[in-house]
Amino acid sequence: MKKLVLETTAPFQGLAELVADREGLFEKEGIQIEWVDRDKGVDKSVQKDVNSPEGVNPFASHGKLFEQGKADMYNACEWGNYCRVQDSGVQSGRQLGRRAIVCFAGLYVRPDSEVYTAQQLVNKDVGAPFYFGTHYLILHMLEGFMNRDQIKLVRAPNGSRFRYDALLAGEYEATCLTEPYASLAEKEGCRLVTSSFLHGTEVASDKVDTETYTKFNRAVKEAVKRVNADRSAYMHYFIDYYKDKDPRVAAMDTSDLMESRVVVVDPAPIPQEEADRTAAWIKSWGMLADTGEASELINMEVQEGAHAAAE
Amino acid sequence: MKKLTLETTGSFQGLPELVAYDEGLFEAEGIEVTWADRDAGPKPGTQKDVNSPVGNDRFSSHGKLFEQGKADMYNACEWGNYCRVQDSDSGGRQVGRRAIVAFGALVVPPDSTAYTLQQMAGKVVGLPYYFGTHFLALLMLEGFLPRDQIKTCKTPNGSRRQYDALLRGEYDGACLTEPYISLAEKQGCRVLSAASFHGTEVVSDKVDVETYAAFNKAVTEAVDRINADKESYMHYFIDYYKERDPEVASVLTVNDLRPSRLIVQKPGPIPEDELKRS
Repeated sequence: MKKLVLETTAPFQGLAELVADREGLFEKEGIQIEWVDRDKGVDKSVQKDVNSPEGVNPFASHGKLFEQGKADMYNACEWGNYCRVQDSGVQSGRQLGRRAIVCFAGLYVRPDSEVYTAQQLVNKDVGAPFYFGTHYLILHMLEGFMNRDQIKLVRAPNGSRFRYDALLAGEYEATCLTEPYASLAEKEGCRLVTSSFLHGTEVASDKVDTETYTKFNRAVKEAVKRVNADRSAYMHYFIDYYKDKDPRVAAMDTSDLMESRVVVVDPAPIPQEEADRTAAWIKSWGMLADTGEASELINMEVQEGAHAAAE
Repeated sequence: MKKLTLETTGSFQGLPELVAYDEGLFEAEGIEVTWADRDAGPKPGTQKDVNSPVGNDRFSSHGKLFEQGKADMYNACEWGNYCRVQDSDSGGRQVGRRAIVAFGALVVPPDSTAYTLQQMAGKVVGLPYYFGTHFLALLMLEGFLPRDQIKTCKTPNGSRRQYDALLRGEYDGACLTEPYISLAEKQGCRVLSAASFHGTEVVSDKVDVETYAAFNKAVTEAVDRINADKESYMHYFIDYYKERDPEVASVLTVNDLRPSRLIVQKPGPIPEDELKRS
């Protein structure tokens, strides 16, 4: 049995891995998973005077334990992982491919907000957790509706619960939430201004070789198959994961959630043209300046070998 | 009683007006509303060789009867109405924003290889040029793709026709409104992106300040009623289509619809800065 230490993941970003773990699919492939809590001790405050990712630590949560040699692998949004891999102190740390879940997120305003459409967020503060998926998604979602210089971000903590609380406290006009907080916000009268989906990837050290990642992906693919065969049976993950942490979520029912927001697909390589376009876009926002080609950020050998073998 | 002829409106774009009509709120304000069907007659199907709005008729549905002098007022998306008013031969002008903030979503079929908007690069999105979902789709896609990677073709207006064409594979993505977003989701399609958008009202000089004030009083009362009990008005999204589209009534129930996608507010002026940016 090969032991893999993974940074913790929540259902909105790692449902398939959680299902594979709980249903013994990793063990069946000869992998023993140990989870390590990446969010312990992470600062959850809003910093209104921090308005860009410049100078912000990309390893504040995702990748933190990996960089300390305490985890072998983590998953996070693709954009953030390009930046993390560029700055990684782990020589072998590279992306291996896309994770299974395609994550839903929505941009929300309070019930009493004057904002009804994305255009109306011109020059209004939007809480964004820099280097996390919702940060980049906010930029993408707003960029279509306004000029870049009209997008105003303030640093918000990672974790939708904390961002939601800050939104309700009036610390900013809007923020981007993932499930179950998107549904909670809707239930509590907040308005969805715009929503979209995002890919994530996995970053691993050389402990995760082609054979190991093949097995990992076989287990995840079986989980994907099970989730897609009976999605409603897995919606409880989105509540169970938070019910001890947040009574508002504990009071929710799976009928408050939308199954159509749970999209899982077989893990797959990052298509080259998408990687190139993604890297170019990140650079256009002043990040990823030290990277030449997007392919430098991917372990091509493991990515290609493992995904082909897991077919 | 002042008579006003309005072009027909769907629940996704005119719920408060439909509620005001059904619940006698226009009459209470001294207005007798009659509806004129702007969508009567055959519609061309998807036109794959028409890839931009240039040269297309802005008045193919919204504003059609108004331009012919057969309606006094119509509501449609704000962007389209800017274009219609520019070209109006009837002296039509916008008088403010309608009450509903419509909800639109870019949808792909269940077997699509696109899971995110970035993956729509170079893929064709069927759009009803000059209708709200045309402009909304451009805004949503523009955030994720350079403009030259956004490919569109002309579809007829009406989410039913767009949804059918999407399922037939005539294009890769379509921008739908309710109840067709919910229908598509129930039938396994994926929403890649969604957003809300404003609309405005265009009137002739028959609608003077006094008349529009009375109209808006009725609509505002409808807005209050909807916001007080949104769930009790969700049936409009099914009832409106049940005779036109049996699938909506047979496949959907109000439980399939998301009340949070229904947003209505008091009608108001178009803010000057937003007007200029739009």
